[in-house]
Amino acid sequence: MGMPLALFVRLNYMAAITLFLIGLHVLLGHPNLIKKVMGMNIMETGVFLFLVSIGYARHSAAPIMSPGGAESGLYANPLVSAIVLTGIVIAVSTTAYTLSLTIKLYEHCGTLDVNRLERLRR
Amino acid sequence: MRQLGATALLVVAAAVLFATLAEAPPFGWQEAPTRNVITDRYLAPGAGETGVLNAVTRIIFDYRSYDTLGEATVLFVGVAAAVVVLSGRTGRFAVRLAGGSDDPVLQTVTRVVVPLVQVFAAYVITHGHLSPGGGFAGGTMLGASFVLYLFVFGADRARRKLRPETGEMVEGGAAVWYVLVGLGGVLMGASFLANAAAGFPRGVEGALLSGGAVWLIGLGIGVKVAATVANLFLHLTGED
Repeated sequence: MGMPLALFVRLNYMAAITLFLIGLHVLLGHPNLIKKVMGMNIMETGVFLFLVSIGYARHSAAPIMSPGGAESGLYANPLVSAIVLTGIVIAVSTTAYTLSLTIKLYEHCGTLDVNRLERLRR
Repeated sequence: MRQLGATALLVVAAAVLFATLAEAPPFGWQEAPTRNVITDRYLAPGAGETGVLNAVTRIIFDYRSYDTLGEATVLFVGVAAAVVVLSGRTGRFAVRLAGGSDDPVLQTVTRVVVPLVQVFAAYVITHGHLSPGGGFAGGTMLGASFVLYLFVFGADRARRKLRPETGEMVEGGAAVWYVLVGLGGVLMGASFLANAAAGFPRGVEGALLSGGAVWLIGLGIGVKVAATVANLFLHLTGED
């Protein structure tokens, strides 16, 4: 199997990694603290997409047991969905804490620009 | 210089991730190694050993309920830390985030939408064992309806609807409720957070009141998450 085909059958994973990298780029490269928090959240979204994609099998139904069973007899893996739920809750907690610190920082320094904050320190 | 370092790190990360990806099992493969005996146990047909039709709810509130209790604690600690940081707003650049809006269109639409969102949230919370959603999703919706009210009508009016002290009490009470349901399992001679093994009635498959402890815990989590979201935004926008 050639490289292009190998990547094509993993399109969802590629999208997840791309989201992760976009988030990483914003987190590292952007000077604004709010944008950094957004970058962190985009990274988390990439991880969630990756995990949920692992759980999918072709023609599988959502993991809710219907009386007759799934049409294809196959359900998506519910374990990764449960883990993503945990991940979302952690993401919300860290985002809330980071944003509250950011608000506090703005109230004392009047800026969210990392370069300016570094100059303030001197 | 920093920009250059960031870009270099990004390129390295991209190379590693994509190179690894080429070796990963293809997307949607029905015999993927992640589908093993554990998945089969979780996906037992019908109401199974838990009395719950939604397999994700089965996992989070029954098989891995202890894990979810820890998760609820993380949410509690994270938001508590945020509230502690935000208490005592003394800085020179204090910002007022939610003064409300005078726009009649916005206010009227909010008056119509908020009750509908809340009814749907109540449905999602109470039917978590039968349909998609559950305590976490429904609780977030319930909290979001309050956040919408807060941003349209302003923090002062929102505080009259839900005082921060009340919100904190509801949040803590719901967490205690989770532990009490878990201790109920111990009381009935099984392990902590046991469901059917402790004798919680599983009920009729597909009925609203079924699933035993799962239904009770889902209700508690829904209330807890709603109170957490509302509390967080009250403190993010408040002045005290």
